[in-house]
Amino acid sequence: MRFDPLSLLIRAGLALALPAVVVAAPAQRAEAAPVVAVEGVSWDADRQAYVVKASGELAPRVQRLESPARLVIDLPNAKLVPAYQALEGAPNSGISRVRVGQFQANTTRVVLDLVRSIQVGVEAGGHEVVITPPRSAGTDAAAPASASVVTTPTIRAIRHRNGDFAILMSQRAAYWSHVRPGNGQPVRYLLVFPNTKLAPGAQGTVPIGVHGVHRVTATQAGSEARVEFELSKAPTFEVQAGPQGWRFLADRAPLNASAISAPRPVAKPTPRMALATPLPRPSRKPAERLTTRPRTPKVAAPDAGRPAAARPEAAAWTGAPDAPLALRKIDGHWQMLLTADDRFRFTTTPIGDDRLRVDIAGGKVSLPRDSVYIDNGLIARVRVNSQTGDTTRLTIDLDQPVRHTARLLGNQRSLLLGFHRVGKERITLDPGHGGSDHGTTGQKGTREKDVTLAIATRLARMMEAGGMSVQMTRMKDLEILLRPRVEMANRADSDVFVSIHANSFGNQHGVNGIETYYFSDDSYPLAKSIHKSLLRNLGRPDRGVRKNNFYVVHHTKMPAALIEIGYLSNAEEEALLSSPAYQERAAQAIYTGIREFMAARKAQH
Amino acid sequence: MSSSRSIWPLVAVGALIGAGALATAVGVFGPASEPARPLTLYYADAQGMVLVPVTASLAAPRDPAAWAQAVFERLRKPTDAKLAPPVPADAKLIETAWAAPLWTLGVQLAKPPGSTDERLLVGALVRTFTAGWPGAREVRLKLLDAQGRPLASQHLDLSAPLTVADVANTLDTGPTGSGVKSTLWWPSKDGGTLVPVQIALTGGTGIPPRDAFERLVAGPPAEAGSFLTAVAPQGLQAGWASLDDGVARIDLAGALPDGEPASRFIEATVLTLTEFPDVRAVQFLHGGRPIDRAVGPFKLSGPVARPAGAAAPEATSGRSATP
Repeated sequence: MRFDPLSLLIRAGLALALPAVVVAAPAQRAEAAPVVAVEGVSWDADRQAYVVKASGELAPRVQRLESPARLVIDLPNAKLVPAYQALEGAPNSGISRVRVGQFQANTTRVVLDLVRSIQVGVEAGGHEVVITPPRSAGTDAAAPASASVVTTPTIRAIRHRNGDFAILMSQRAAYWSHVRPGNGQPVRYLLVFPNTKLAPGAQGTVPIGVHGVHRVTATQAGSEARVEFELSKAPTFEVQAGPQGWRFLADRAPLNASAISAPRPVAKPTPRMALATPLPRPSRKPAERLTTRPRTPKVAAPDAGRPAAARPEAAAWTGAPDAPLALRKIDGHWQMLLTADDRFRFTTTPIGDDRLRVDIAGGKVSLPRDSVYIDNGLIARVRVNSQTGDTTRLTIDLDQPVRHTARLLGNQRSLLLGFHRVGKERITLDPGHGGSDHGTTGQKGTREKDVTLAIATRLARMMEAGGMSVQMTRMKDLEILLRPRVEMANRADSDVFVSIHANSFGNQHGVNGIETYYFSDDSYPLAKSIHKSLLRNLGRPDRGVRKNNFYVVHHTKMPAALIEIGYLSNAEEEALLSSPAYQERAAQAIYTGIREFMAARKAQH
Repeated sequence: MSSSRSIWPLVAVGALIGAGALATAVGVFGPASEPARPLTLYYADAQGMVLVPVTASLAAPRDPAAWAQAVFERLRKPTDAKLAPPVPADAKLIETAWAAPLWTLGVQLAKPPGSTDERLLVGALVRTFTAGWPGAREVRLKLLDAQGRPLASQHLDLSAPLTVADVANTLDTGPTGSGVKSTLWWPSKDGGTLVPVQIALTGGTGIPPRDAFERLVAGPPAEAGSFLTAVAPQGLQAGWASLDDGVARIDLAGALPDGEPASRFIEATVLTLTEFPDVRAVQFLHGGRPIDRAVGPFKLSGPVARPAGAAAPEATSGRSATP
């Protein structure tokens, strides 16, 4: 049997790739980001926001802590100039106080003390972080406080090691690609990152000369950052998501010297299957083919589709036998593998609902003292509290209460921790449009944004009554772009994402009916279940369950469906959709569809 | 004096001819046009389910911006009354830029689009502009509101250039699973058009074209919605006969009527089977014997190839199409 590293990687999937990249993350983080000085926080009346100013770029990490409720924004690689600072919360903002302090040697912490549940915007750009409370506080006490982070991505560096080119970014941004075929010239593979900065130190051309890559050139072209790989022969390569950006994996075969001096004309290369690592959040969605447009690949969880009992745990982690920390998600719960340099004993101690302490004696787990951020909606990060002699004390910060399990694997050097979310299923509801974006409008003036919010609000009430935990991307008439909607769902590690829209088709007023969209295969059962329930309960024409790359179903990392509940361009359906009774029926039908999907999924597991 | 007076008309005529020739040479009468050539334009079917390719002849200017405007105008006005314009009548093309392989188009809309509006508009522009302009592979689309401000799409991701692969034009009946995924064509109930449906062929005979044909005559899947109808006219039975040398043979029994239902059946069968790379034409037989007549535009006395101007095979994905 031929040994093909690429196909092996694809077959092994993330079970192999994940541990390797997790371990790489702390080291790269430490190398990539210099420490910046934080001047403090102030209230900006023009922007109606708190602004944290610094001498350089900040990369905020947001987590929610309970008892008392507070939103914590950590600024890694930052040192606060004043010793401590506190501001009163803006009136009616839902924030009682804003505090800033130096949490760890290189981490500044901003804490927002919350008096009620609100949604806070956290945006990093330039040398500041802008924290925007809602203009008027929300009233839904059941909704959890949450935050979305929007920032301009920056390529900090491009590192090369053994054919593995790591494009290190402040956050993983989407790209589009060009392949420029040879015609006797070297093949060039160009990755273009729109609206992305290239750090000055990352710009320029670096000759490589091995692994089929002549040179790599990184340039800033207006708002686009471009990374071009000049390839010496018919290339076989992959682009994978990496822990801090993207990885370009070149052909591992030694470069033929003749190929450098006289490159052969080659056919248009076909990038092979792109696999993405699951950090920061592995997805249950399948791997995608690399195409020439931006995307944030979604990937299959390790061992997805295999019965739990058939998964050999030892085999699942063999990709990086010495990795100190690895993570994966299986059947809705997370597993963390901590590996030491020697056999060890351990104890685990929950501290409140938001921390788990792990004491390891006998072996050394080589995490850096700085925090390793996980940010998967359940686990915020892993910190080394102390490391003395043969004892390591780790603290795992949690975003929500968990039930944990812990056991040593057979080699006595690896500790397998399981994190099972306690309590309710989490649903993100996305009422389409809002604010100045009215969506489509019916002939009698019914606005899509009002219909979607009315149905979503009714649906949220039903779900909460049914024991589900619901997060809405908007609870009032607010304009929210697509990316924050997706981030909200991903950050909360929701079980299901459902977007509600109303449709229109130009002047074809006779067109009516219900369509339900999905993108990834694992979203199809959800879309089908909701669609069937809608048809059964509303009796409208069936326009099918359709696959399309609508943004919110494409980029969410959980089963996701977008419902087109009816046509506002059709007079009959406009009348129905503006009727509270019909809205209630529609909400009930969607609720039933989601419940049926969840029941079927539970039965499978 | 008289002789010089008689020369003036000749001088005037000569001057006019010379000026005309010069004007033509420098393009005073407008940019030079290429001769009319075929162009595939994509319109919506009347139900707004899919885009339907229509081959038209367009004498388009060489200038990219003028060509783009001409094509945009054509997309607003389908010549076939059964089709709907994917571009709203009040939409304007206010920005065009061409830099191989990328078209950049700025489209101003009088009102925000619904998802069907947007799906069809984006799909029609991407498909028509990449198919019609040499070297074009991607379209970056900017939507603008009535005031010319960027209109943030609430449906598709328009932040990056789109290729044909990004604008699905088939109904999809769910994940492929382990089967071959192919495109089957069923007629819409209003008879307006044939609609491509992506479907996973699982199990079956091991001959994917045969499996696809048998799935086709079994009727449209429930997942594709309720607006599709059976492909075979009433009273006509159709069965798979063979596949030899790129020609699939279909044996018919019962009455093969004239008229649109029968020609739709022929077209749907040919489109479905020629989605497979190893089927280049379909031979229709009746009781095992050749049919010496035409049905609509199709002469059934010989193998029927994929109609010129028909959409290229969409995507037969999954494993190899044939064993």
